[in-house]
Formats: sequence, C-alpha cells, structure tokens
Amino acid sequence: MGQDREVRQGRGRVSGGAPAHTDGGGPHGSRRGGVLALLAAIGAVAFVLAARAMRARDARMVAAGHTGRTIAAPPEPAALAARETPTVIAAANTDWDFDAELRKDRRFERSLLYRELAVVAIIVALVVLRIAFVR
Amino acid sequence: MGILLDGVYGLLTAFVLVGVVPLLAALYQFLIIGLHGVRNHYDGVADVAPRCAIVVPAWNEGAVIGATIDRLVSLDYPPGAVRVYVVDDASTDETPDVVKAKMAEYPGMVVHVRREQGGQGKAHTLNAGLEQILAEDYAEAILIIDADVIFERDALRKMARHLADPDVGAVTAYIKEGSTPPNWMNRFIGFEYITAQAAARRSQNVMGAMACLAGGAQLHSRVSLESIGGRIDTSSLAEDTFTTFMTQRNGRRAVFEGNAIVWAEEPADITGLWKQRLRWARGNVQVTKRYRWVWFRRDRDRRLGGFGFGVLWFTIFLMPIFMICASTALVILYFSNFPLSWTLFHVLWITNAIVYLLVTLFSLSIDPQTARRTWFEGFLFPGVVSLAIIIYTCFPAVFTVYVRGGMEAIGLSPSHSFVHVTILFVYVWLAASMLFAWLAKVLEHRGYLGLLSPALIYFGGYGPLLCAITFAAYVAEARHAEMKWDKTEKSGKVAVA
Repeated sequence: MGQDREVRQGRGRVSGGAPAHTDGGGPHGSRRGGVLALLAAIGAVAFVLAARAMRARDARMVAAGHTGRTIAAPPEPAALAARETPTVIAAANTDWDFDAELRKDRRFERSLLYRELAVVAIIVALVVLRIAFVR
Repeated sequence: MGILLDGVYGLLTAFVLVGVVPLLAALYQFLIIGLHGVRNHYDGVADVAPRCAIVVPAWNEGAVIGATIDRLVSLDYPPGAVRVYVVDDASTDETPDVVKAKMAEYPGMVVHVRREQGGQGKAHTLNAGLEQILAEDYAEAILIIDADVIFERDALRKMARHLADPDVGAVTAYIKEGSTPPNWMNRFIGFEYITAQAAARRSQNVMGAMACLAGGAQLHSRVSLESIGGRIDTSSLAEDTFTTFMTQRNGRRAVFEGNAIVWAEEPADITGLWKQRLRWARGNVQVTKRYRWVWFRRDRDRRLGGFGFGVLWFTIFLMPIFMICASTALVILYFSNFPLSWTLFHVLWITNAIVYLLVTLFSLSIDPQTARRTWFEGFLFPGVVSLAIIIYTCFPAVFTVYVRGGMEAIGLSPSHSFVHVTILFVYVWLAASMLFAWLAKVLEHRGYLGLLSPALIYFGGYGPLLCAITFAAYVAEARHAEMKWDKTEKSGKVAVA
C-alpha cells in the first residue's frame, strides 16, 4: 500500500511538469531564462560564423578548381627508373627532415593535453552554470 | 518481503548503472589521451627507412588500383626502398591490365601476383603476396594496405621510423575518410574515425596495448611477421585484429602513429556500412572467444591482459547488451518505483551529457581539418532524440517551460497520459534507438521510403546504428552464419587532384 502511494506521488510530480528538484518555476526562472537566452545567442552566433566559414572555404575550393585536398602528382617514370636499389637500411636521403618532423609531431602530441584541458574547462564551466542557475 | 523488494530494486539499479559503464570507460579513454604527449613512442624512433614491400590485395579494383600504385611509388621514401606487390585475387575487370601497365611504367617497382582462384577473402589474398615476399630477401618491412587507400607522401616515412626500435613489431597509421565530395554517411564515418582512431588509438598507445592495426595501413617488421608464422590468420573475419593480437602476444609492441595520414574511401550508404561493420563486429566476437584466457589476466599477457584495456574492449563489445539492460530496468522501475527510476534516469543521462561533450569537443579539436567538414555529424552522432534527452536532463526548463509553454500557446496542452508516454519512450530509447537504426537500414532500398533512411539516422543516431550492427553480429555468430567476405564497393572517389 505504502509502495502504491509512493508510486502515485512520484508520478504525480511528473505529471505536474517535472519533479520538484528539476522544477522550472520560482524566483530562479528569470535568471535561468537569461542564461538560456545567452547560451542560445552564443550558439546562434557560432552557427552563423561556422556556416559562413564553410561557405567561404567551399567558394575558395571551387575557385581553385577542385573540391578536396590536393595530392602531389607522382614523379615522371624516367626519374623513378633511375632510382638505385639499396642493400641495407637506407639513411635519410630525401627532402624529408627527420628532426624537424619529429619536433613538429612531438609538439602536436603535447598540445593534446592543452586541448583536453580546454574542453574539460568548458564542461566544468557548464556544470557550474547548471548547478548555479538550475535548481 | 521488504528485503526482497530492496534486493530487486538494487538489482534493477545495477542494471541501469550498467549503462553508465561504457560512458565511464569512454571518459577514461579520452582523459588519458592528454598523456600521449609524454607517453608515446617518439623516444624510440630513429631516422631509418627499411626496404619496404607493400602488399596490395586487389579484387576488381580497376577503378582505383592505378592511382594507388602511382601514389605508392611516389612516396617520400628513399629511392628504390619501396616495391609494390599487387595481389590480384582473380579479378575479372581491368585490374590485371592496369597493374601490367604500371609495371611497364615503373620498372622493378611493381610486382603482379596473380591468383587464379580467388574469392576466399582478404587474408588468403594477403598470404599469397606474403609467401612471395618472404621467399625473397628484398623486404625488411612489409606494409599491408587496402587497394583504395592513399598515403600522404610522408606517411610511410613516419611509420617506418618506429621500426628502429626492435621492440616494435608493427605500426599503424591514422586512416581518414577521404571521399570527395563526402555524403552524409561519409561525414559520419569521418567523425567516427577521429574518435575511433585518432583518439582511441592514442589512448591505446598510452595503455601500451593496441586493439587493432588498421587493415588499410599496417607496417610490420619482417622479423615480427615471420615470428607469427609469416601468414595472416584465415580462420576469422578480423584478420587485422588477429595479426595485432598475435604480434603483441609474441612480445612485440604495436604502435599507432597518429601523424601518418592515410585516406580511404568508406561506405556511402547504410547497407555498405552494415556489411563492412558486420564483418568487423563478427571478427571481434571471434577474437573475444579465441583470446578468452587473456582478458583481465595481466599475469598471462602484460599488455592485452591489462584491466583498462579489457574494460575498453568489453564495453564496446557488449554495448548493445548494456543499452538493453539499462532500458529494460528503467521500464520495470517506472512501473514499480518511479522516483528511483527518475533519479537513475538522470544519473544515466547526465553522465551521458558530460561524456558526450568531452568526446565530441575533444575529438573535433584533435583533427580540426576533418572537424571542418564533419562537425554537424559529430554533434548529431548520438542522434537528435538522444540530444534532446541530454538537453532535457541538463536544462529541463527548455522543455518544461519553453516547449510546454509553446504548446500551450497554440492550444496543445500536454495531457497526463502524453507526459507518461513520453517518459516511457525516453526510458526505452537507449534500446529502441538500435531498432530505429535497423529500420533505417531496412528502408534504405525500398523506393521512396529510402529517402527516409538518412533522416532516421540523424534522428536515431549513428552510434546506435553501430550498436545495432554489433547486435546483429552476436546473432550471426550464434547462428554460425557463413563467414562471407563482403567486399566494400569502391569508386575511386578519394583519388582527387
């Protein structure tokens, strides 16, 4: 019986809107509305900027005569045929700069931590906002 | 009676919380990626470029094989240190003619290995090439690729530098979806590959255990390949995963080189994706069974037996089960203990929201180039419905005030029963989303109804589509369905210049 009452109470809360702890009414309503409006405005601006950037990029690509990335054309067959066959592990003898590439790749990998921290900071800020304004 | 009821509620709570496990696993996986700056293999690299035999399995690849060979022989790699072995699996199109033309164009750099009886699958095809390569002295490293992939010019060089460390047996690259122009499915896959490769494989580098060397770009040292028998496993549908496991079981490392970029053409529709992923998922079921004595047993395998690696493997492998468990328990609790169900629902979906934000934003930041064309699909990866649930759980006023207010303003006040049906729908959604995805697949080639398929995936989610395929793999394996090699159709859309 007690259980029935509990169930009814629970459902009653929901049917009235949302459960009490997520209720949208009360003195926080206007503040929450302001935050939501701000978030919506930020989202709308971000969307418009992203759409414009994509359109501009597409226009640049079309102007350049293609719709994707460019891959360097293969060398002439004659140049390829002139290559020698090494008998041991070859040392670097192309334009590739081993040290510079390694430095670049290491830098990128280290940057992942900062990117991650930035994303975590955004999420923490959102959680704090959620707790502060939506009771 | 009360204790029994508490026990039942406890069990149902556990079932709902099982749905949180994959989310926490994803959180762990993404958080450790930040450590890749210090826990990577760059301390072990050196400026080496071993003579490399590139194995290209090809069956009716006439549309793409010529461009693939052109790119391979023009890689930024020491002159003469690359030889391309095209293993022609009894092609019936113009593949042999294209390969022979390329042999004449690049003397000594292209080898045509013809199989007169084909159709046995990729592993058999690869083995025909490996047999010839290992019988010769030329190769110091073997690069196994797909016929349609395009390596960026420095990709092989970046992969090969890791082989300077004798502890490394194999290296894989970052495969990116490169169809141009991409359709909606290509963009979903493009984003998925940031999360599943650029992100997930970096975390596997940190953990020291690799789940799978990408089938389209795996570089093996000769000594490592010979130590696992010089052959690719032919008994499963996941030959690349088996090779990865065997390499690591043999005591060598498998490394992901995220800065070596390889472009591939991936399926452009649900049917193509379903065929490809069903093969992969069935292969994963086979791997899970074959290596059942390794999981969570670090004493048996220091790398593959690790706890973190096991959790990540099984959370992906069992994801459909987790989703069905969580939904079922929520529905039972709805009828028996609503307040508890409501609390658990919030725990589940708020966790989901946090993980969704982390995974999406971080993935987009890892590969901004791909993000520019896939960000929309990235945000809609879980689907519009799941996104709406996430927004509701985090900001309920959006629905309880604004949506409800909007409905009331136009005279559509939601009734008591409407609210409850909506709640039940939301509870069921985790499991039902897979059904939704399956429906999209069924409708795809049904005339005008097929036009609904992309919309169903955007609404239902690409993630649930992958879960539905995993579920279908369980069924296929349980029924001992035929191990059929369904080749992904290629059109050469990646070959842009």
